[in-house]
Amino acid sequence: MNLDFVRGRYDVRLGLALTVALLITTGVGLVVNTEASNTLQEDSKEKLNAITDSTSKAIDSKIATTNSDTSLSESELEYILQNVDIGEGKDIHIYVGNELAASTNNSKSLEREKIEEEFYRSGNSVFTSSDLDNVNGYIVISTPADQFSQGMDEVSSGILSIILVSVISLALVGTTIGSNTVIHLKRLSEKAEKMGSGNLEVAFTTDRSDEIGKLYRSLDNTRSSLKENIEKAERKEVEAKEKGEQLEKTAQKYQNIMKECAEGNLKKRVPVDKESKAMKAIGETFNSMMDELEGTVGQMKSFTEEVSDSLLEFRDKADTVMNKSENMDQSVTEIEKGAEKQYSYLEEVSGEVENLSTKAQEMAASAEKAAESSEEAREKGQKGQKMAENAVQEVKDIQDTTEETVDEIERLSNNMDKIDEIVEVITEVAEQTDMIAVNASVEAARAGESGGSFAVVAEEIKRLAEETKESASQIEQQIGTIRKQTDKTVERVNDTNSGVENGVETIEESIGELEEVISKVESMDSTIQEVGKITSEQASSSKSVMEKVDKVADISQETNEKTDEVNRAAEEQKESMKEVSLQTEEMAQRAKKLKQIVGKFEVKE
Amino acid sequence: MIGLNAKLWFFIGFLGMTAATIYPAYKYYQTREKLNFYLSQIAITGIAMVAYLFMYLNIGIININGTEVALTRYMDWLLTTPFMVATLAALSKPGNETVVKLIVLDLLVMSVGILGPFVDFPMYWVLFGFGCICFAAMAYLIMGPISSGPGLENEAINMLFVKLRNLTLVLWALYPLVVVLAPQALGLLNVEGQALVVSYLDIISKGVFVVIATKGAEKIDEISFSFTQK
Repeated sequence: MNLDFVRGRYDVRLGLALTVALLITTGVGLVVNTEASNTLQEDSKEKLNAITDSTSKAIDSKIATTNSDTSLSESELEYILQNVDIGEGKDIHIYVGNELAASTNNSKSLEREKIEEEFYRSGNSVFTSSDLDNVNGYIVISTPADQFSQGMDEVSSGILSIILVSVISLALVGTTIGSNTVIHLKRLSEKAEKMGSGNLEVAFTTDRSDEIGKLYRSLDNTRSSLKENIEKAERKEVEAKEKGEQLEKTAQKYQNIMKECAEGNLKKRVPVDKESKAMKAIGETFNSMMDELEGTVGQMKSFTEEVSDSLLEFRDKADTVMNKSENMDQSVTEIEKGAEKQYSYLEEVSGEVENLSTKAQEMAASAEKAAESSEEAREKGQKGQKMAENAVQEVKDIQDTTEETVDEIERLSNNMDKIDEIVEVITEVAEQTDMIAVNASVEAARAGESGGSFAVVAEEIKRLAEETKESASQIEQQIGTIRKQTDKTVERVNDTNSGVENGVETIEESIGELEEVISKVESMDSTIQEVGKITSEQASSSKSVMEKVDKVADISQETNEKTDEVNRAAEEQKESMKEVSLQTEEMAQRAKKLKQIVGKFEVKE
Repeated sequence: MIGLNAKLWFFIGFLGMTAATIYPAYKYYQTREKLNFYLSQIAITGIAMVAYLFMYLNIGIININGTEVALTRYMDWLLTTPFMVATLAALSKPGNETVVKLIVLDLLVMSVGILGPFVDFPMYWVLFGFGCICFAAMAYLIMGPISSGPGLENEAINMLFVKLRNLTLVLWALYPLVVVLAPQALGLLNVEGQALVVSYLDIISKGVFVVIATKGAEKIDEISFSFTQK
C-alpha cells in the first residue's frame, strides 16, 4: 500500500492525530464506564438477591400457615402469584419438583439446571433462584436486563455521550479552523516554491487579516520588490554592457599611446575619456605620470651631462686634494710641536694660579674677621646711643621737677605777701588798741579811785597791744628773711635749670655724634662684608681657573696624541685620494655612456 | 418506543438540517446559477431533514430482538452520503470511473450498516469489519486519486476541497466508533446517548459540510456539478 500521501502532509497528519486523540479519549471513557458499570451491577445483584430471598421466605411462611402438605394446591399457587410483591417488570416462576407449577410469564421461565451462575443473563433477562423450605421445589425470578443495570445505562451512556460530543467538536474545529490554517500555509508554501523557481507573477492575495494574512502580504511585497530589483538589475546589465564596450575602445586607444610612450616618445599623451570615471582617472593619472616621467628624463639628461662635466672637474680637484694632503701632513707635524710647547707653558701657568688662589683664600679669611669686628663696634655704638637717650630723658625729668619747685616757691612768696598784709592789719589794730588803752587810763585817772581798777585793765590792754605789735613786727622781720631766702632759692633753681638745659644740649649733641659713628660703622661693615664676599668669590674663581688650566693642559696633552692620529689619517687620506682619482676616471666613462642612452628619449627642450 | 430525550435530539437534528437546507436554497435563489451543485447540497440536508422529522414522529422505527432500530436513519445515510462524496468528486473531477468506484464503496458501507441490526453477534462483527474495510478503501481513494484531480489546480477550489475532504474523513471515522458503542453492539451507549451523538455528528458532518460547500460555490465561479474536466 502506498503511504506517500502522508509524508510531509500536515493536514493529513492533523487528521490522523485527531483520530488517535479521539481513540485515546474513548479508551479512557470506556475504562471509566466499566468501573461505573461494575459498581452499579454489584448494587443491582444485592437488591435482586434480597428480593428473591424474601419472596421464597414469604411463600414458605404462607405454606406453613395454610397447609401441612408439602405440595401446593392450585388456589395456593394462584394466591401466591397475585399477592407476593416481587417488584415491577419482574416475573416469578414456581417449580414443584422439576415441573413448572405456576408462572406470571411462561415465555420467560427457565429451569434451575439451565441457570449456570447466580445472576444468569439470557436474552434480555437476568435469572435468579432460591429453594423453598416447606415444599420440594424452588422459585425463579426473571428481571429485564435493562432494569438489572438501570442507572448504569444512563450514567455511563451520559458520560460516553459527552465524551463523543467533545471529540466530534474537536474534530470539527480541527478540520475547519485547523485545516484552514494548514491549507493556507500549504498554498503559501506552493506559491513561495513557484516564486523560488523564478515565477514572479504568482499572486499572493488573501482576505485573511491574521498572521497568515500578514505572511501573504509580506510575501507579496517580497515578490514585487524582487521583481523590481530584477528589472533594475537587467537595466543595469544593459548599461554595463554598453559601458564595457565603450571602455574597451578607450582601453584600446590608451594601449596604442602607451606603446608609443614605451618606445621612447615621452611627448605623447592619452585623450582623457570623460564617460567613465575610472578611465578618466586612469587617463589623467597616466598623463600626469608621463608629465613627470618626461620631466624626470629631461632632468636626468641634463643631469648626466652635468655629472659628466662635474666628474672631470672632480678628478682635477682630487689631484689638488692629494697635493694638499701632503702639505697638510707637514702642517700637522708643526702643530704637534706647538702643542707640546703649549703644554709646558700651561703647567707653569697652573703653578702661578695655584699661588694666587691660596692668597685669595687668606684674604677672604681676614676680611671675614674685619667684618666681625665692625659688627661688634656697630652693636656697641647702638648701645651707647640708647644709654645717652635714657640720660636725656632723666635730665628732662629733673628739669620738669625744678620748674615745678620754682612754681611752688612763687606760690609760697605770694602767701608770704598775704601774711604780710595780715600782720600789717594786726599792727594797725594793736596801735589803735594802744591808743584806746592810753585814753582809757587817762579817763581812769580822771575818775579817781573808782577808775582805779579800770586803769589797771587799760594798762593791761596797753601792754598786750604793745606785745602784739612787737610780735607782728617780729613776724614781719621773719617773713622778710624767708622772702630773701626764697628769692635766693628761686635764683639757684633757675641757675640749676639753665645748667640742666645746657647738659641736655650737650648729651643730644653727643647722641647725634654717636648716630653718625654708627652709620659710618654700618657703611664700613657692609663695605667689609662686600670685600669678604668678593675675596671669597675671587678665591673660588681662582680655584676654578686652576681646574680649567689643568683641563686645558690635559686637552693639549690629548691634542698632542690626536695630532699623531691626524698625521696617520692624512697619510691614509692621501692613499684614498689616489684611489678616488682612479674611480672618478671610471665614473666619468660611465656617465658618458648614460648620456648616450638618455639621449634616445624624446622630450620637450 | 423511543424515549422523550431521544425525541428531543431528533427534533434538534431536524431544526439543524432545516437551517442547512434553507442556506443553499437561498443562495441559489440569490444567484440563479450552478443549479445542479446547489441541488446536490439541498438534497444532502433535505433528505436528512425529512429523516429526522420521521424519527421525531416515530415513523420507521422498528423493534428487532427487543432493541428499537431507527431504519429511517439508515435510509437517510444510504441516500445522502453518495451526494456528499459526489460533491468532493465534483470539485476534484477525477473522471467518472473513479467516481463510480467511490459511490459503490459508499453504498456498500451504508448497506452493511443497515444489515447490522438484523443479524446475530458473530455476523454483526463480520459485517462491521467489512464495512470498516470498505470505508478505508474509500478514504484511500479520496486521499489518493481524488485529491489530485485536475479540478484542484484551481487554487480556491483546492482549498475548499481540502477543507471538505478533511471534515468528511475525520467525522465519518467517528461513526463506526458510535456503532461499536451502540445498544445493538457493546451497549455502552443507550438509545438516548446514541441519538444525541449521532444527531450531533449528522448536523456537523452534513450541515457544516453543506454550509462550507455552498459558501465556496458562491465565491468560486468555476464550480460545477460534473465529474470530468471540460
